[in-house]
Amino acid sequence: MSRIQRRELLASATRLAAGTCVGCGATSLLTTRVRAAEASARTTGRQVDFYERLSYDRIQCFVCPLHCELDDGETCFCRTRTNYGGQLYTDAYSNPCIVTTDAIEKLPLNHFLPATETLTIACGGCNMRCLYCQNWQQSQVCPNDIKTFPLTPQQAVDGALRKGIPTIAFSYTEPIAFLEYAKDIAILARKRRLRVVVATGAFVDPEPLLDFARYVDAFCVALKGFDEEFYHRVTGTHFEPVKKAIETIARRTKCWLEIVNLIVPTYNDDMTAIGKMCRWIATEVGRTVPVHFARFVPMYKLTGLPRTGVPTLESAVAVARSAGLRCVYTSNIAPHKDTDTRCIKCGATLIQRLGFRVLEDRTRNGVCPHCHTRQPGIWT
Amino acid sequence: MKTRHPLPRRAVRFVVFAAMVITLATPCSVTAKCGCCQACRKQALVAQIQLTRAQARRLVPIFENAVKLQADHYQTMAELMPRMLETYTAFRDEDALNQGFSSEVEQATSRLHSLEVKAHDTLGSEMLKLEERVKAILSGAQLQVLAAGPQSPTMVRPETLIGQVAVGNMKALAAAVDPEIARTVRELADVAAYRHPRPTQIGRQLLDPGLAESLYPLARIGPSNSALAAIRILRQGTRECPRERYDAYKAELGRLHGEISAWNLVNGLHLNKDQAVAIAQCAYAAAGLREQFKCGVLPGPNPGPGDYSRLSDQDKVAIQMAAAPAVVEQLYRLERNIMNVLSDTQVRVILDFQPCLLPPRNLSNPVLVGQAKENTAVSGFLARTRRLPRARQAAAVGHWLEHEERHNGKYDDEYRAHRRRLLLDTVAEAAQMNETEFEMHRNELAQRAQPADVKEELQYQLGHALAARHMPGRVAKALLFDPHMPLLLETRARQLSKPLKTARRDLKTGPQADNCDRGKCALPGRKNGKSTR
Repeated sequence: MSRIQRRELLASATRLAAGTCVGCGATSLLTTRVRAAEASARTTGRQVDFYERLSYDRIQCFVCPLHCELDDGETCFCRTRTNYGGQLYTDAYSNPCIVTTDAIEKLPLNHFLPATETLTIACGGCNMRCLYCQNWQQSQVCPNDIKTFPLTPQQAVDGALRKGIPTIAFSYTEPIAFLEYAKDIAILARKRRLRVVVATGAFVDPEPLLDFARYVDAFCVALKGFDEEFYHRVTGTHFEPVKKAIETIARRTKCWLEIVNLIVPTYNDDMTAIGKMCRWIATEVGRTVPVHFARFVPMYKLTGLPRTGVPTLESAVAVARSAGLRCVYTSNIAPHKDTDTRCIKCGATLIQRLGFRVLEDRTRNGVCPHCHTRQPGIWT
Repeated sequence: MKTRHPLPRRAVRFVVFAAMVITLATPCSVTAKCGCCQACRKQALVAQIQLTRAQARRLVPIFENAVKLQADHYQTMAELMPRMLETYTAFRDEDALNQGFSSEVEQATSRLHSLEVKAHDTLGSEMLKLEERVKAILSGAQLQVLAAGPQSPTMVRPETLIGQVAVGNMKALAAAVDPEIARTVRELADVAAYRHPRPTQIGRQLLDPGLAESLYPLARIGPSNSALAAIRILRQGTRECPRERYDAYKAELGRLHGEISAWNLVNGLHLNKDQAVAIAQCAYAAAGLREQFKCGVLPGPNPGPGDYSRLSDQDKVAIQMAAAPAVVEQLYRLERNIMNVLSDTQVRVILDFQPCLLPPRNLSNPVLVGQAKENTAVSGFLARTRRLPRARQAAAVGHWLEHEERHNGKYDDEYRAHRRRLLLDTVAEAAQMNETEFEMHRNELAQRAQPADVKEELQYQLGHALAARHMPGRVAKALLFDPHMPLLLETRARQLSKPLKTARRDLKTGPQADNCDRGKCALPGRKNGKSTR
């Protein structure tokens, strides 16, 4: 039996270690490639625009303020973005669960092309966990866990054009959760002279918001409450980013903005807080920004509460008007006088609505026929 | 096993027959069986139409079938009614609060209501079939007499012209002078009769248990035991539910139905306090006017209550007929007052309102802002039928047309063929689309396949015609002539005048939304494309 020299042993061990390292690296690289290819096959290969690699296969998403840190194979809180081998892909792309035509008033947008239709698109998933979600069957699941309808951005735009619909809307679930898909549709829509409107909770970072807003014509933001505790306990998110996003839309984009506040009995129906919110809107966002006070109907995890009383909604409208807001509406309640649009100067009824059905539009391209005042909004 | 009778068959038959004839032919005042003069009136009717013995003999089996059906219905309803009363009362209480319904009460009400409707419709359609057999027995002249009977729905009854709540009297009054209105009223009655089949005057008069006293002696046939038992149930009730209790249940249920429907309308109108108070005042004024009219305090040359009560019925009717236009005009003015208090959209909701037990989620828009689902029944039908093989689509369209006719009234052959073609074409177009295309065009296709609502169109026509003649229409029917309305509006005004309570709850209690606080936001991985959560 021959004896091995110490030097030879060390050299062999070094070679073995180097070989192992190279092998592992190659395997890992191969796995990453395979995962990326798998993701590509599963999600049509659309990567998320706003994320950073923290380490080899660990990444951080920067679409919404949660800034989810994901290991390989993990999915964001919104359930729509997954880390496939160190790359963040969207699972919602071309994978909507709702494709339908609606009245634009349903978003609700009352000062944006009234009495027109939208092609409304929504994908499964949401970055909020609102206890009263009206569409929880779609928003609180992964995009692949519900029935979907394959629809590429090109097909969506072609569909709207074929139907003669002037606007594409992203609503029902949170468009921020399928931002990449919505943005690609918006880019194509803009090229084909279609309008794009977005109904959102606005829990989004400023950078992706501004990037998306370049292709958007109007936002309808759900301002769900006006303090951190409400946002945290009822929606699972935070208040400041939403406030900041609304300010960003109002100050740094040219998009039309309307704000919706769902009044939930005993949760956010305190008139002092509503007054504070309205004063903030009037000073920081604009007096002519339409504000909708929506009636709560027991839903999802808040089924034990009553519906919002009409007097509560009427009080909120009065508080908003006294705070200086000029266009205040009630929604989810019909018939009601505060669903009609009135002239901001003379107070004449300009658009008469029954729910989201426009019964009569007396404006002339957004101009009051009585006092000839141009009404805030986008009318043509 | 057949039991043998100890006495000779003929003798038994004779004794039974004689007993029946004596029992049934005795005037009701002597036997006090029916507690009213129904039997006597039926005897007069039989004499009036000169029913022959041969006809009576042929009528007997049909009559017996009818009473058995009615007795079965009695027993079904006697079992249902106590539960209905309990459930509907709970439903009414929740309706009055206008804060939505608890799911148990809503589901129980829905279940019982569908059982009730089914029971009534089954009896109605069976009775109609029997009525057809009755018509085949009677001569044209006899049918004419029966059709123009004392309770013809199209006949103006001046003594109840204003006293009744229904706008039907207005319709009848207008129909008497305007052939166009008369036609619309007839068409509406046809639609109603097709939707909820009920026997007409002929059936109601000749298939009523009160006819037994006249029919059996005339036919010289004894009633079968089962028919006798059925008649006994219909007159005296069952041991579990005597007739008096049944009638009391029925009256209470009718009242509850009316009250719930009125609450549904009041809730759907979203009245404010001032509106509720103003409309309640008008409703009380209308009730006072009607009461005065019934008591003989009439506008114009007033004979005064003292004189009026001494007048003969004919004179009373003549005076009321002369005074009716002025009263109608006053009611019309009250209706205008209400319409000035309401917004245009509220008036529209009243015009579209159909009396109902379970209100649609929102009387004008069943879908909430921001809520996804808005599928009409036609849209659902298209989604189901497009997946069927071509051969089965035609059958599905046939069933759908029957369903439509139940709502819209019977279509004539030409319109039915047109609807069939349209539906088949739409289904074929939908079948050619892929899932995404169909979803995108679903509402459009449904809109195209949607039939016109005949009843609604007729009601609108009638409303316009009545308004043109300065007669109160549907707003008056809903808010002025409904006996529950004044009290309901007062209650609503009281509810609305309570100070607003908006105390904030402690958000730390109750359900909490999921959040990212206790660790990282990332959700665990997925297997086979399905979430592992």
